Amino acid sequence: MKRKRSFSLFLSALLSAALLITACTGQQANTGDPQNAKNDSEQIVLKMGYYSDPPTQKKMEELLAKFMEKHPNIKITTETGPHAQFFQKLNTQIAGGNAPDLWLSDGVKVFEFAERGAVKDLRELIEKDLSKEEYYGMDANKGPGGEVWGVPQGIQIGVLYYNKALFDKAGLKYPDANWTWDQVKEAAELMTIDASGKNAKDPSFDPNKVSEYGFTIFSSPVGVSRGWFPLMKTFGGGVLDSSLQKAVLDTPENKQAIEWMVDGMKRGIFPDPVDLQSFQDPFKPFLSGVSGMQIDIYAARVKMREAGLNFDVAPIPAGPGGKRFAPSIVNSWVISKTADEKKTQAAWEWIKYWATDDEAQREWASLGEAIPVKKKVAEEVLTSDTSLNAKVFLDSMEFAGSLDANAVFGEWRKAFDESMFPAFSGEESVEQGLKKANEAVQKVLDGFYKK
Amino acid sequence: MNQNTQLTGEWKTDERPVPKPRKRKRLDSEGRWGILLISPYLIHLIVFVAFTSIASLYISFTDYDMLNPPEWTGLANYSKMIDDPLFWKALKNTLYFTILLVPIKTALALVLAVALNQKLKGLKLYRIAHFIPVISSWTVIAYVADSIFNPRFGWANSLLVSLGLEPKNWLADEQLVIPVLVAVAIWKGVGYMMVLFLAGLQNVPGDLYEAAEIDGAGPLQKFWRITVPLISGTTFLVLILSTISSFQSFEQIYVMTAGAVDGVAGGPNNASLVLMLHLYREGFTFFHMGYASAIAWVLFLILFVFTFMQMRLQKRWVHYD
Amino acid sequence: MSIRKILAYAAIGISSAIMFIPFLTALFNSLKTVGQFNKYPPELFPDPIKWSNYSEVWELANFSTYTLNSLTVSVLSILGAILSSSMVAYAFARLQFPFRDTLFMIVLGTMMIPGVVTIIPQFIIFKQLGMLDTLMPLWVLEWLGQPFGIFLMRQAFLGIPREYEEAAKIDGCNPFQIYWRVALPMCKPSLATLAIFTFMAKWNEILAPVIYITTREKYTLPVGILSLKGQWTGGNDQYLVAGALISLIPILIVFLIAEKYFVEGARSSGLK
Repeated sequence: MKRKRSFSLFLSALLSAALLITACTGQQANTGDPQNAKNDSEQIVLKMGYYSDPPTQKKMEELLAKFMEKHPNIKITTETGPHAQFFQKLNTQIAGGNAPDLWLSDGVKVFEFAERGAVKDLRELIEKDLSKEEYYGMDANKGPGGEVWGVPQGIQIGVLYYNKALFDKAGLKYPDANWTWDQVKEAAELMTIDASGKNAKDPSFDPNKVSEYGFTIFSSPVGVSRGWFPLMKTFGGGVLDSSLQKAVLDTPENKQAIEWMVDGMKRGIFPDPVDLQSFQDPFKPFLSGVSGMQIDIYAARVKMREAGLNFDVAPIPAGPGGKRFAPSIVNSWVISKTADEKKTQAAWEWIKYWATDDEAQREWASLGEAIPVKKKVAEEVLTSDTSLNAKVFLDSMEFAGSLDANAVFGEWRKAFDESMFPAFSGEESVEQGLKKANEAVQKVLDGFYKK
Repeated sequence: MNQNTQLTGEWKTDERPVPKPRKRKRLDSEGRWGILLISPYLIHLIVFVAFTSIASLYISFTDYDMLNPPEWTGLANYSKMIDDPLFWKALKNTLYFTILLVPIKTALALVLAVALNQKLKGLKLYRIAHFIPVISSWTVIAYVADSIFNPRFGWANSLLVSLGLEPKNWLADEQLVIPVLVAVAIWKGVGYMMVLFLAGLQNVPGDLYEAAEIDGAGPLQKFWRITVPLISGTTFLVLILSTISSFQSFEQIYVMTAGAVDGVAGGPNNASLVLMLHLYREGFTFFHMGYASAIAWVLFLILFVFTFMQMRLQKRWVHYD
Repeated sequence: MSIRKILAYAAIGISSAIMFIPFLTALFNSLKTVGQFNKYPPELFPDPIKWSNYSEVWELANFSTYTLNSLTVSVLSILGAILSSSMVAYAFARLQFPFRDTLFMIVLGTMMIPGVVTIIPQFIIFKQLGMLDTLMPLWVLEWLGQPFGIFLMRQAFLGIPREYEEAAKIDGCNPFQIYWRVALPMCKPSLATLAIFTFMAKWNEILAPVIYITTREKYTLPVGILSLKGQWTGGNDQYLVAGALISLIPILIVFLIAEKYFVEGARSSGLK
């Protein structure tokens, strides 16, 4: 009898502990919620989401502190996470009714949120407070109806990186702003070397035993910013028309561009997907100094420097018709649809501070990750960088364009990759591949826009 | 009530069915104790499992992009699945992966556990060695796997070439990618199952082996006649767990097929696309959470049927005291 | 030493080497400089040996804080799993109660629903409970009986001879006392297994902490390591490997402690 009682005591203790745990924390969180802080009734509390690594987080917190000093009526609390998982977290938060009031969006994801109605149109606020000519990337988040879904936080733009040491070794002139794709291929042939030291012009060159490549151009999904996409654009082609709702892949321009790529891969002067496999990381051929050239974005400098490469940059070459294009990714601040008027205003103050404040712009630029949004500061920062021809990045802004990012960017990119795989690996003609890709991409677009 | 006939190795199961008439009456003392002891799980069930599974089942009948409320679409997601070639490819790949992985890993784990359950010098060291891949993250495992299966510099191709054979592209080869992934999964996972078997082996009474030795049984006979039947409860556990985990393989394939770099894993040409990869991508990358949930429930159904059959079959081959 | 014994040693030695030696590749990689890490063709041995990768990653990733968080989560999880899962499992293994077999199928069934599709509803529950941005969502379910633990311990309880329990019953023990005093001590090897695996799962978990934790100071170790990689920069691979290797040590310690329980049968079973 006694034993039985002790046991039921134990059980009820266990149960009440379980209930207590849940109840306690419920209360804790409530009192901890800054919204209920009554001591400063005027203060607006904002929840801001952003992805970060240790240095970017440190810098962001510093800037937030400075901002809050200037705006004592606004308190910004932050929610951060690693980039790799941030958007999964964000989706969960939005779905769970716990969305941040404003967040930092990956450039290619702005439309994914915007066209699903998760963020606000900032057109009026921008027109009121920011003069468009002073900033880069202001058109990047413009919807077909004139809406503007976000304000640039930092700019990435694609250029042609080249390895000076390999150019010197082959006795070649460095690429410049006047280069064409034919010159790229010509130089690549001379720089590609097989195991016995012969270059690709040599008749006895062995394309299966290449030890140094001329040019890395990606056929995989990363090629949307560093491979097939900018190439197609300079050839006069592209993926979507200006409405971003219609696929225009099945064109002679695109065919010409992709055939140019496939030819290079076949001859061994560009690494093909299997070659890239032996590098573990597709960026490694260039990083390890065994690829003469590669298209990459502004941020790529950082890793190349860490790897001790001797490199410089040139604009992405013009296409056969002289058309120019530089892929650009504009990470942006967006404001949640769920933010009320007061919070929207407060969030806008932060965005304004970010874009207009020279010091904030300089501070963020000191991380070396992105080109500052404010043109004046960008020029100042980039011209002070003498380690490479940094002006190339600014010059390329003139022909910068988006990656045809829309609400289904991730999905159409996958559809393209899937349809084009046989063509890139030479199992199917480029024409067939593009035809299939066009259908597949259109199907993805219709799945969203024709619903 | 349980006839214990240890020495002959015949064991009765404890799968006593609940007597029907008892259900109607007031709970007896044993029933009350049973309910009390499982009460933590009942809380778990009511507070968490019930809501999460009903919610995700409901979502599987809707169009749900996570940013807007779900819209009821009936069986649309399920009929989409039937027409989705990638779903079928993923299902095929998942089955292939599982059928290759589970039996080999289980058998190997049992042999290893028996081998490492002896009195050996340096036993601890051997056990640690076998456990190290288990605790290593997939990032580390991927590096190690690359040193073996790299098409250019890997040991595997060096070996093939030295034997005068053609080198292979391994993870970049549509035919080989799953076998290579299975090999790596065995290497990483065998220690996990070995530990389960080791724990199971501790329950096998030593006098059985002594008795068998007196009867003149050799090591192989002892293994088949004593170890295998006595450890069958653990084998059942291991089989179910490895089937579930191999059906839900995600991280390995994501990391090893360049998903971390490209954002698109499962290559080359979807040759290693598995169900979890497909549903994760559909759900969180393409905003089709309704469709992803439908795939998840089909996956659940397959596993459930498999496990249910195993539960039925176990009465034939699993021996409990 | 008999030939058979020599053969056994040889087989186990080779198998251990296959398991262990590739692991050295990771160790070597963690000691390389950025330049050497990127070298093509790859080199096996680090030259020069850069030990400071370890101290750098420790500083960079705020390891001491994250380790403490991970330890809190893992230790609370182990305690919860051992106490609750074994108790629930004992009822499933030995007691008769209505819907027992159905409930057990539900236990197994919950393991079969992919976690990614229940993340959102689970997030909503934890939000209602006010547990967002605390460590609680990471361990609290372990105290309410986890399917893996229940399954593992149920199989263990089914495997032990019934006589001892029958004897205790005759002595007047109630089922809880039988479970606590008689059955549980007999299943120490399985409890040790449960402890290792719970620790490992919690120590390595990434998704749940990413979803529930929003303050960097509350990150767990794997999230800390993961967050070394920014969108474009940071997260040099040798740091990631070094970080991963550091985070192995606690699991190894737990394994060494638990492994002691795997020697009882060593005398009697096996090849000899």
